[in-house]
Amino acid sequence: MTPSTTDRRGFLQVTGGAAAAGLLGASRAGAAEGRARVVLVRRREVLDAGGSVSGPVIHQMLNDGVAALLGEKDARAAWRRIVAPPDVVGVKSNVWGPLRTPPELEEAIRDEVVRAGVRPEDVAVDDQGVRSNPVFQRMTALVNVRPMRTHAWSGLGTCLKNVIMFADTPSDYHGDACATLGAIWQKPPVAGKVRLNVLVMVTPQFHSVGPHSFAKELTWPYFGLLVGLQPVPVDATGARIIQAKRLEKLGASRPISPSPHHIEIAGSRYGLGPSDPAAIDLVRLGLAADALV
Amino acid sequence: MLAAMLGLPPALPDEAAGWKAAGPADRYDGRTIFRYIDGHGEVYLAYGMAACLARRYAGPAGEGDVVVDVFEMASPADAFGVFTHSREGEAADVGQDSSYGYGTLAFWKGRYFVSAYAEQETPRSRTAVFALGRAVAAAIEETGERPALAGGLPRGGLEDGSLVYLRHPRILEAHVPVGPDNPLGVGPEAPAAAGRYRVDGGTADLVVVEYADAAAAGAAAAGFARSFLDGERPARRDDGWCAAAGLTDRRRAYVLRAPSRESALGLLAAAQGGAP
Repeated sequence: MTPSTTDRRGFLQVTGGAAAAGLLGASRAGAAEGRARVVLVRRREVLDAGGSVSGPVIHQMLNDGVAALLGEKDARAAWRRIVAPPDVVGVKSNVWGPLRTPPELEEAIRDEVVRAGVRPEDVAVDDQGVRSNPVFQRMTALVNVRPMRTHAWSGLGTCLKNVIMFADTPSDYHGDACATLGAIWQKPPVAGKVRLNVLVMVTPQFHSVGPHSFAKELTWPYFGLLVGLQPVPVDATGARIIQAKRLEKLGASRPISPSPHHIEIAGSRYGLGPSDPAAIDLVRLGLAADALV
Repeated sequence: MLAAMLGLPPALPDEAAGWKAAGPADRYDGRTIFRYIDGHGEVYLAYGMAACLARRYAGPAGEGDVVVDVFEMASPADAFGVFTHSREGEAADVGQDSSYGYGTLAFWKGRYFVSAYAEQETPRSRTAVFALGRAVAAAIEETGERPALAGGLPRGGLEDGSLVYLRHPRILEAHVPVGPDNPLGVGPEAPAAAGRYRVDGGTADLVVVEYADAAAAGAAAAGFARSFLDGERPARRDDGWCAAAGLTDRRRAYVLRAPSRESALGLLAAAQGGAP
């Protein structure tokens, strides 16, 4: 039985988004106590010969991932368990110039949120303007989506880090390699509102060089999305993939630097899900070759 | 004219090796740098960046742009420091020290740290990157001294490219994880030099910090001892052995992640002996 919207929202406000796993049906999806399900969807066709993202393919990957995450055969039913009227939904994207969230994926999320019954005027996609965006100011639910890449201060740009734009002073969270990013998830306006985390692994970046922190040679076509309810298991899985790629390309002496320990700390200190691979049920869909995890 | 007034090099070249300036140079300061290099500007502020002059160059058909950034830092030591933090790839013969990797030429000269970056690396763009870099290096008339603190690190066993000079705890964390609350007391008035060393049984990190005065050095030593040592004796932590010693009344050496007590003390002794 699906709980009423009122019941669900009240529960989320009290316990935080991580607990949404249980209420939204993760138990039916096979997640046991202290465990988390993460779905890795990979399709080579997501990139065309010129390296552009295919809108229809990434949309289908998203839906396949969300359906598998919640154990539903029908993606539409799965989305209705993530958002429902009268939710007001913010889609927190990331528009970092060299490697942004694909607009095709932003559009796919918006489409599915509306198809789940949310009014179009109650959905917004934003990044750096979230604090002044009127939809985000009244949001009841947040979908968090960004590409995975290495980062100068936090080691990795993760789903956990993607909400830093909601902080009054983002630099307050930069100490000790951004160790306390998980705290943002316990404070308004983020606390209890994140319903879905999507880590874009289509062309992830395994290393950073120079003032612009980017070179195309530092990315590779991985053709993937990681989808989960909690940020930590999603980010931890992505971090394993990045580390494996670094090992392959840079050798054993070049671990991710600085250490992305904000992921483990967000789990152990802030209750945002397990980071231990042994506690993560990784569901794999599609392309299996060179998965690195 | 503007560049000269700002103390920046007199001009960035208009063209080199077939790449032509797409427009005039843009200038950024400590407040506006984030508009230009979102997510990475703090690295340059951590080394006292005063200004950045940036210019984009368009290449021949089929080639990507090249971007040249000239950062005016607080001092030659800071320019050297941000270079040590940023270097990647093979050494290149431009400026006072340089590197080239993944399409990016980086070098320092005087107070300036310079990056020339090819958005699409090809043999032609590499030629352009070096031509632009050399033109900028030639336009910078001054040279600077490497910080003595970095020169004082022992050379025996030092891994290539691992030496870094810094004066901000965030930069230290990127090279030597030391945990929260800046336990070594690194900061603008307490610069550090760090390196990774090959020692018996593996590798170890050495950090040498020069404090403003003996009191600051003593306070940092006491804090480090509480967090990392057994009293003042070496101690083993999850990631290896730690040890510390005073080099002068203001300068202290810290060893972290050593594979054994003996290797930690050996590296400390090398630091106390200065560069061999």
